[in-house]
Amino acid sequence: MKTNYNINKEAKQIIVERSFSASKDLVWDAYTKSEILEQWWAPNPYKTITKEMNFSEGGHWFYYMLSPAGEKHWCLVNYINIKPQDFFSAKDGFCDENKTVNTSFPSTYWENNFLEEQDYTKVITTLNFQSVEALEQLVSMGFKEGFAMAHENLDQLFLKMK
Amino acid sequence: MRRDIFQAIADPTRRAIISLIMLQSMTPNAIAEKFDSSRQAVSKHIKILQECGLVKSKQDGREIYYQIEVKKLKEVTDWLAPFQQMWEERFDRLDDYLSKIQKQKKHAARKK
Repeated sequence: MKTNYNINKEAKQIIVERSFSASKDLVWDAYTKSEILEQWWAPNPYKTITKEMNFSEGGHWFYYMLSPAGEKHWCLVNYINIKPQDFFSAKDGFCDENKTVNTSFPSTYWENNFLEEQDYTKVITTLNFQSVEALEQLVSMGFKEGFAMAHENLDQLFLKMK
Repeated sequence: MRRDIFQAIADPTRRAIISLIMLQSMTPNAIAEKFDSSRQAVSKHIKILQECGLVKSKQDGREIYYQIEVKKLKEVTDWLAPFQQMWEERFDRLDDYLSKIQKQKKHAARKK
């Protein structure tokens, strides 16, 4: 399935559109239940581990991404508006183990729309950034993560070769 | 006026123009024919694309042909590539999960 990416720097937005061949209730669950999110959310080879999950307006998902080297990256998703099966919005950022948000990283406000189509469910995610710089920082962080992953993969390869 | 390349691709018509002339260089008239909007509107979009450095023109006899500046386009795609890759992998895992859970459900329904 093809993903559509749309960048609107003026509006400080990235819009990601993707369809899944599954019913809307299944896709909704995959985005809103921590036990399913844990199976697909974190970039490989990181693992997602949930500390707290309360999917409700004003509630949050508090989790960390665990690197193979045992490093923990804590994240906090605060849920703002929820229309079951159709929509939810949230504020997403990095924090520490006490849920204190790390302000040196940009936080993102994101909206998810779930649309039923013939045999498919389409999810439209709009990521809103505080500034163009924040947008660039987040995207380049994906870049850094990619590098970090590659390095860890190398580490593992070296371990095997020993 | 200096423009940002991301401004160029923020507009759906401009994205359509880019994908059109990615296949072959085209005259302004040939481009305008592909769109419902007026010729003026299309040439305005082309002008912005030129100012962003994404499109360049080439004179061939009497005609002007527009073509993509591949190097500049790569700037845009490279910038987003790691972000895209992260999401692609994420969605692939979600696809796997969804197909697995649906098979299980079918299986369970058959057993009943």
